[in-house]
Amino acid sequence: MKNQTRQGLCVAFFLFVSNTPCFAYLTEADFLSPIPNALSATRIYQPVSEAPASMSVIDREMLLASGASELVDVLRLVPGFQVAHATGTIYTASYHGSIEEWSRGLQVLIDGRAAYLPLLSAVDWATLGVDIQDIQRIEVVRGTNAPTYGANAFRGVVNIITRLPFEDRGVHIRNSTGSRDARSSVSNIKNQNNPLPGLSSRKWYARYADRLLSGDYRVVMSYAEDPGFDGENDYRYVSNANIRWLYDAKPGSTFDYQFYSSYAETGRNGNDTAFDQKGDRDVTSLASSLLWRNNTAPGAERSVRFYHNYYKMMDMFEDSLKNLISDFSGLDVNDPVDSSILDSLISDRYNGLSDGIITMGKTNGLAQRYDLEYQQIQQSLSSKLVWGSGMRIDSINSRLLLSTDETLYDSSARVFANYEKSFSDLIVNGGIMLEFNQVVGLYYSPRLALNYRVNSNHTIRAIVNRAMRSPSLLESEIEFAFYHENGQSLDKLITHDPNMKPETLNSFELGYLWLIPSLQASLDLKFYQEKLRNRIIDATWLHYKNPNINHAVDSVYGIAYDPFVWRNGAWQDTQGFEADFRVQLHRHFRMSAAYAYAQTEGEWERYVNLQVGDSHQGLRDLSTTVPEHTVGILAIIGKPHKLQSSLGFYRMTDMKWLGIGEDIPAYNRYDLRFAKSFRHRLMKGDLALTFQNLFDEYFEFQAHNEFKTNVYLELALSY
Amino acid sequence: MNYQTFLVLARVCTIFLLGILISIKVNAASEQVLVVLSHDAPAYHSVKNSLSQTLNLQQAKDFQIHSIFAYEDIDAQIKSLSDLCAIVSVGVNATNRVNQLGQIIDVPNFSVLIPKDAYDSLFQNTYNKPDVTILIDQPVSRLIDLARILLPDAQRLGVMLSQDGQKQNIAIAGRKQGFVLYDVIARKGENPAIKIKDLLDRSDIVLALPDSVALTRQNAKWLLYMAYQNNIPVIGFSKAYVDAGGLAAVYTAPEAIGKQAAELILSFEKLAGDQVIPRMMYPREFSVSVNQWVAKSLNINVTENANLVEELKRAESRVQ
Repeated sequence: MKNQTRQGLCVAFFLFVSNTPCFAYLTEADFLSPIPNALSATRIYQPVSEAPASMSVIDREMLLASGASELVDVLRLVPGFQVAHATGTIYTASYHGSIEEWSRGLQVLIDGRAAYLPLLSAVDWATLGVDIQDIQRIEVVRGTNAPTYGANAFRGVVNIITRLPFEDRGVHIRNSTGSRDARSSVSNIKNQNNPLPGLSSRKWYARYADRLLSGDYRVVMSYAEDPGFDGENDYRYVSNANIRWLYDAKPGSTFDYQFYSSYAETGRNGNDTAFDQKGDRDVTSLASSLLWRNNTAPGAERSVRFYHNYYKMMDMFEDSLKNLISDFSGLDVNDPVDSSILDSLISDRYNGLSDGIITMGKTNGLAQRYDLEYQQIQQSLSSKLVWGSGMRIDSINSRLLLSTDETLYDSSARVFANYEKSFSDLIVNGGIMLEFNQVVGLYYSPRLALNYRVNSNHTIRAIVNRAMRSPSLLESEIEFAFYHENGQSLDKLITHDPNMKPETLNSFELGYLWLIPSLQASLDLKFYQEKLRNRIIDATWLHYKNPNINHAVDSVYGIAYDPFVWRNGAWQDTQGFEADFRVQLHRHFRMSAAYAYAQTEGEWERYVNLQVGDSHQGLRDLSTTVPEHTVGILAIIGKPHKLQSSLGFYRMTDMKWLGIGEDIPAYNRYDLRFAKSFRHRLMKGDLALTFQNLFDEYFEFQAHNEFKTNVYLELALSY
Repeated sequence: MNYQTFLVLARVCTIFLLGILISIKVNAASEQVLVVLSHDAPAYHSVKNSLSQTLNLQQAKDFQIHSIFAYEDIDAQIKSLSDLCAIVSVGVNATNRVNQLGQIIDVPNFSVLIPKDAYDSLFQNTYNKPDVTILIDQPVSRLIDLARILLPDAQRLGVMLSQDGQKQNIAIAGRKQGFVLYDVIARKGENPAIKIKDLLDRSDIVLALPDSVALTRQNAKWLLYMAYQNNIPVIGFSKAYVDAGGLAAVYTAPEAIGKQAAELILSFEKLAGDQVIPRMMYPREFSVSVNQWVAKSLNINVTENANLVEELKRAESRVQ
């Protein structure tokens, strides 16, 4: 009787609480109990033919077969995207070019959490904390998606979807070793000009995933070291750790907790002056998010997401004020006469200040973001409504960038709604995002999209967008100045226009999607026109007068100094077309081909001359900041569990990169990868050999970033 | 005969006829059915209620339904019912308990709402088993028929099992509908994710079949998730599969099983000597449920659920 009671309790427990079967055989509970919901309303993917935007998906097979060593590099396979390693530690990506080393206006989401950093007004791709191995797929929205994702989705959205811990259950260890210059010397793979001799490109990756309580968890630790470009001080040592735990509270209700940490010690380039020294840059990046998702009814869902991003960059260096002014004026600090002149110059220029230690840096500070969002989805078979609201607090503490010890905050709130209605073969999609922040007040981004299905294989879409990007906290508050050991801020290097307005992007696109089931192929074409206005960009502020500095002496001692000012200083019109072709001709052969053609015109007010009122000088042409042709092709032959080889071809015509970037000539790049899986009892292994840029060197972002042939050998074991 | 005598005779006859009617009624009320419920949950009560309604709808006899939970004293309850005509055990736990009473039971002993897996485990090597069992499972051919109706062009049928036992039957049923079977064996302790991935790599459609090792509820959840990611439809054996993201499911509601059990009791009453009732049977009635969102996103056109049931019944009758 006791046994029977225990068995009864066991069934009851199984029916209502547990996920673990109690018997060696099935009971009726297995037929009558609910299954934890695998597909919430948001996960019911919208077919590409119904999406109110141009989308490209990079799946896991493409991710791995691309042989990309950095996550950002896989975006080379997306039509219209340009990717560059600005240095060995800073990577940038943009949709339709015209971008600096820190890519502003591109939203990068990791399972829905924005990786945006207020300190940079951008994303630091090198310290995202997520490894390619952790990713299931990447969905890229080509074009503005501010009505759905807010201001930072100004140019596009890169939605990184990580793997479920369940899919990675067990232990996985991976090591990759390679060289940045494989062809110069096979026997000496370490770079001769490497400022850190002995450092080659290496990666370690360890993962463990299992089940805990009613959830699945994954723990990942990785470490990477790389010497960077030949002859540049851009080495890096990066340690990452991340945790994901998916917990089923009850059927239809799940919690998703994620934690990412990244610590990077990197080199920082400089021109060896007191003003711009080579040195180190340390980055600590932490992020945590908690998502609660609840299916209230079939097709209905509500969710609450909270996340926190913490990002600290330390790249300060110190020198004497005398050395700095020596660089400004050309006076020799080691010459006794010049030295005494420098003393009096400092005293005159800085109103009695004497020499002392000054602190400099480039992007030094601590930034944090807190974000809370509620979202509700209601849908029927012919309509779908997504609406929600959120609030956010961004903060920056940076003595160098803001010239204050205080932490500055920007609080913002948003309300959004997107409604989709199907009328037989026509799908109408309308959306709007209303945002309010302390920088510009209220602004909005609307969208209207029409998708017309000619038949099951042909769809035409027309999309009109108007997106606004508010100046970020950094852009609206920057007062970048080095400071004296007595705490006084001295010369401003960058300041801002207090009357800055949001950037606006009006875009129109006409798209055509052709599905060819017999070939398992699809062709997506996009014709577009974009008009970017009030672009926030830097300009040199000619004859700027700092009220705390006696500029009268500048001309006497030959000090030439003009700070930069961030302002609405450029416009740009871009038009072109893009093609995204996918085909799976055979189970063992698939190909993805992306092509983009773009024509752009635009002007950048490079100088502001306040001495002659508000007139502007030095209009720079922006027509070369978008490459005319961009190509990304990936062909995969074979299956990973057998022998798989993949060939990547990337081409970009000449382009001028902004910021520290330069005019870079057209290049062709060929990548080749061979991979073989093997199995021994319970252990599974992978061996891969990757060649990046098989042929001639080309330049990335700057004329001295020479990308040679890289080769990586990778071994992975899992059990 | 004078009028008074006629009245007396009429009263006597009336009383006599009433007596006969009452005696018939009293005889009918003596049919007692004991329903043993595994647990106090709605599904078990639905079986009992449906059984009771169906038995009492017929006019020939009156049945009194008594119910008891498996953890109570079933032995004493049986002894207290003098005109017991049948025992119906609902669920595995009740079946187990009633079966342990063995020789004490001298009336037909039915078991319903039992998975075939449990039936095989409990009664494979013993003669001491219920007289008739109505399974909760669907015949695998029914699921395969549905797969063919929903995906006329699919070729590769995938299943995940923990042992080879059923493989041959599934392969035969699949072949009849033009499918080539791809089976993945997932044993206890093996990584289900790898097995599911393997299954999805080689299947056009997946049948989720009951298996306590290969397809636990957690595994089912991830099968549905990964199948959806790979655009592979899943046909399930319970409505829960449709609610959780499967394309469709064939299942039998507890009410239908209660009704079938009642009809079984009545047919036992009328059973002639040479008639044989199978000891184990699948549910006769069934429902089909389709997840329209999943169907839409997989670009599968689905007719009304009721039409699907009719189509499946037609397919079964053709085979018979």
